[in-house]
Order: sequence, then structure tokens, then C-alpha cells
Amino acid sequence: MLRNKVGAWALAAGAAASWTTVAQADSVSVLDNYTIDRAEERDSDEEPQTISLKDCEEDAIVSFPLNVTATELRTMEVWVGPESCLDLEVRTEQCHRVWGDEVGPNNPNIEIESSLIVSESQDCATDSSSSTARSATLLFAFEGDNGEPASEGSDTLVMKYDVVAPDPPHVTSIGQGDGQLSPQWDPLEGSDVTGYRFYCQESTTTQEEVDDGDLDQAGAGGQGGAGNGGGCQTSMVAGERPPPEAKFCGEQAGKSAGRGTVTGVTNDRVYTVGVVAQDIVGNEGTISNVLCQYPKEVTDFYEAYTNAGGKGGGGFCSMGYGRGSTPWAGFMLLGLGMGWARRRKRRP
Amino acid sequence: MKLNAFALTLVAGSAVATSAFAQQEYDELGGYDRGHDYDSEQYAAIEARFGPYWPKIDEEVNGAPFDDTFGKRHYAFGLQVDWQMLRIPMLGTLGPGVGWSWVRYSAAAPFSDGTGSSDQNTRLWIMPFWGVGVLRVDVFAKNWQIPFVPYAKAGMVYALWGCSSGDERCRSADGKLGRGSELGTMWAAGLMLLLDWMDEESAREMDNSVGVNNSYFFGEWYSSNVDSFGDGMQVGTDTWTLGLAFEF
Repeated sequence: MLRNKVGAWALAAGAAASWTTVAQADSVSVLDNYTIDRAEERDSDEEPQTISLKDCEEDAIVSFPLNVTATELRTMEVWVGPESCLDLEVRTEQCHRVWGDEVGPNNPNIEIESSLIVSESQDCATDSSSSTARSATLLFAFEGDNGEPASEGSDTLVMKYDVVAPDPPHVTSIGQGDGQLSPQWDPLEGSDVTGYRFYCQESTTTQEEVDDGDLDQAGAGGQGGAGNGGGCQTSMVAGERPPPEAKFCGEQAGKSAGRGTVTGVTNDRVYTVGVVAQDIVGNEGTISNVLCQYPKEVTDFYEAYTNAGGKGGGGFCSMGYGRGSTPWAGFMLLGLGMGWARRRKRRP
Repeated sequence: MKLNAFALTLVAGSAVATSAFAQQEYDELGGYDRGHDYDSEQYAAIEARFGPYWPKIDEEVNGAPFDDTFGKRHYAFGLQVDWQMLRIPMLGTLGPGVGWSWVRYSAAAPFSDGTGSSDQNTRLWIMPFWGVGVLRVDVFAKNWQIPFVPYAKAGMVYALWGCSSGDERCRSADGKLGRGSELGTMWAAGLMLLLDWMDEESAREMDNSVGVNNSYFFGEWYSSNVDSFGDGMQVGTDTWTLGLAFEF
């Protein structure tokens, strides 16, 4: 009987001790509301928690809020790899350490350079040519007795990075409009493109050269850089990023879009236009083949109508032009409505 | 005396027609008169309309800016609701109606120097609203089972219109905005074909379940003059319209 009682006590004591050990074990957990500190915030539909090429190149800081349970300061390390770096072999071959310091139970934020998360060399390059996002698994672990990250009390977080911009589209023609140009291109298939952006540069190429030289046709010129007599005179080069002197001059949303409008251009001046594709995190690819064209005055319908002596127009409330239709129409509609309402009211 | 005889004849004819319309049907228990017991109250009609819309803009200006710009036929879609306020015995229904339609034209704007068409679209939309009186002569269908309902409408039209070029609103050379509102008149005459006879059982079910008394296919000639009485753009038209109508 006594032996049984002692046994039960020992069991209870053991269980309590075990519970105490678990409850008081040091641990770290990373919250998933981490932020990337960038100059221009991205909207919620632009995957703000994904590292973009621009984030990487500008070394935007990623701030991770931690929840630490520890009785004293502990050395913690952060490792990054394609999968969990707890496994020694994986850690040795595929992971790199991105942070290490002492942390205590004060729920700290730790800051890590985004370029370091993308690659150990911080060159923002990946071994993949795919422009879709890739995943990085971050291991947050205390340093164990052997100097290696301990699995006990550790946590992992998977975050995405996309540092490969989409390929450029092929521009087929540039249409003319009044103070605007209309580039057309072959939409890109099978990539994470979300839209297209246009870059323009005024060219010394003449209108006659554009008209005679077929420079707005695919493959017939406009591919060269400065001084290329066979194409548009421009410093924009296909396959490279737009040069600083090229101006952003419009954009078109939608992966399947094949036509857009360039604005902010002046009639009768020749412009070189290139198109770059953009993905969901804002990565801009290199420039397409560049073609040149000039905007030209058009006569829209209303201009043709007024030129022909038409008197209509001036706005829906065009009383300022001496026209009385709007108030009369208003009275008529009001009368109709009131009559209708009265009849409905009288109805039994 | 003659008038009395005519009235008597009308009443008799009506009774005969009504009796003919109240069909006798048979089942395993014998014959029964289904009559009009399934008819719900009829107080309105709704029309879905579709047809070409070619505004008479060019009739009131020099040249043909509309035809030159847009050139080809476009179609308008519209709706009309009538309140069949008054039933005239041995004739049909009379009441007010309101309607709306919409049409849009788009074409490449020509270069001002006449060297062809640009890649910039110029567009015009017209949205007429109208209030009309509607007379529907349904005595043939109701009393004599002739499935046609001639009708006529007349009233006023208020139309909004607007022009755009590329992504911008049109403006004239002196900066006047290319949109406006016009007031005018309209009339229409048409013929409705009663569709209930094609499937009387379904027609009855439609009446019992959703209260649709009759369904029609209709064709209509529509004429309007909507130019603010000579002071605006003539966005009226002379055209035909086809559609479906439901009385409920």
C-alpha cells in the first residue's frame, strides 16, 4: 500500500516536472505580419510581403516581429534556404546564415536586408530564369550547446521573393493619334505579367524617314541605338533597361492586353517608343524592340459636326450656351413622375 | 336605333367570343370549363427592344459628319414600361409609358489633313428617355383569338449624348464640350404577335407563377425628332425596332 502511494506520488511529481520543463522551455516564434521597408508602399493586391527586384537592389529592410519566451538572453540565429535549414545536410549545402544575435523576452523586431534573404552573395540574382515568385524558408532558432541551431523552440517562416522581371514583348506597330500614340504588341504568354509600361524618347528621325522608311513596322528598323542610320535615332536599346533619358509615357494593365495609349506627346514630333512588361510585384523587364512614330492631328466626330455648322453640345446642363432643352426636359420628366405618383396613390 | 343594334351586336359578339375563349377541357372525371380562372390582374407591360439606330444628325448640318465618321449601321438596345391605366371595352388598353435606350458608335478618327484614318477612336453615344401614351388594341386577341395586337405610341423624348476621342472628351475648336441633352417628340406604331398560343400550358404556368399574362414578339416603326426644337443636335431617328413584350 505504502509502495503504491510512493509510486503514485513519484509519477505525479514526474509528470509535473515534465510539464514544468515544457512550459518553461525557451522558444521563439515569428509572426507573419512582417513588413518590408520601401520608399513606395505596394498595395495589398501587389503582394507587399514579397521581395521584388527593386526591394533587393535597394536593400530594403525586412522587419520580423518575434515572440520570444526565455528566462535570460539567448543567442538566436536566422538561416535562409529553399527548405527548412534544421537538417544539417540541407543547412550545409543550401542555407546561409542571415542574422545572429542575443534576444530576450522583450518581443523584439529583428531586421534583415532583403538582398541577403534572396542570395548569400546579395547580387539579387537567382539560378532560375522563371519570372514567377520563389519561396525562401527562414529558420529562427536558438543556438544549441554544440553551436548549431537547435530544433527545440525554433520556428520557420516561408516568404516569397521575385527578382526576375518578365521578358519584353514584341512590339508590332505604333499607331498615330492626336497627341497620342498607340503601340501594339504580342501579349506575353505563360508568365506572371500583370501589365505593360511604355517608355518614350524624342528622336531626331524625321517624319519623312518614318513615313518612307517603314520604321514603324516590325523588324524594319528602330532596333538600333544612337546613330543607327537604319532605325530610329534613340539611346533606347532592345533587351536593356530604359535609359534615364527615356520618359515613362503610359501603361496598360492586363497580361493579355496587346494595345495601349502613349500620352503626353506632341503632334508632329517623332518619338521612339518601347514597351516593358511588368509583373505583380512591380518588376519591370527590359525594353522591347523600339519603333518610332509621330502623333498627328485628327478630326473627331464632334469637331466635324461643329465644323459642319452643328449647334449642339456644351454639356448636359448647357444653359450657358443659351439652350433651353435641359430645364424643359426637367420640367417634363418631373411632371410625368408626379402624374404617375398621383395616379398610383389614388388607386384603391 | 342603328346605334342600339350595333351595340347589341357588339355585346353578343363579345359574349360569343368570350365563350369561345373559355375552353372546355376533359379529363378522366369528365369535362370542365377552365375559362379565365387562371388570369391574374393585368396592369402593365414591359418591352425589351432592339433595332438599328441611325440618328438624323446629318439632316441639319452641312455635309455628313456622322455618316463620314461612323459610316455603318449600329444597333440600340432599350426597355419600356407601360402602365395600362385604362381598359377601353372592345378596344384595348391606354396608359402612359416610359422608356430608355442606348446606342454607341465608334470609328477611327480621320487625320485632319485628309491622309486617312488614325489609330485613335472617336465615339458617340446616345441615350434617349421617353414618356409616351400607349394604346394597345388587344380586342382581337382577347375576344376573337386573333393573336395580333396593333398599337401606337406618341410622346416626348429627352436624350443625352456624348462624344469622346481616344481617352478624352470631344471638344470643338472653340472649346465647347462635345456632349449635350436634347428634347423632342416621337411616335411609333407596331404590331405585336401573341406568343401564348404556341404553348398555352406554359403561358398559364407563367401567369400563375410570376403573373405574366401574355408574351409577345413585336415589330415597330419608330420616328423621333430630338433636336431641342432646332436648337441642338438632331439625335432623333426613323427606324424599326424588334423586341419582346410581357404583360403582367
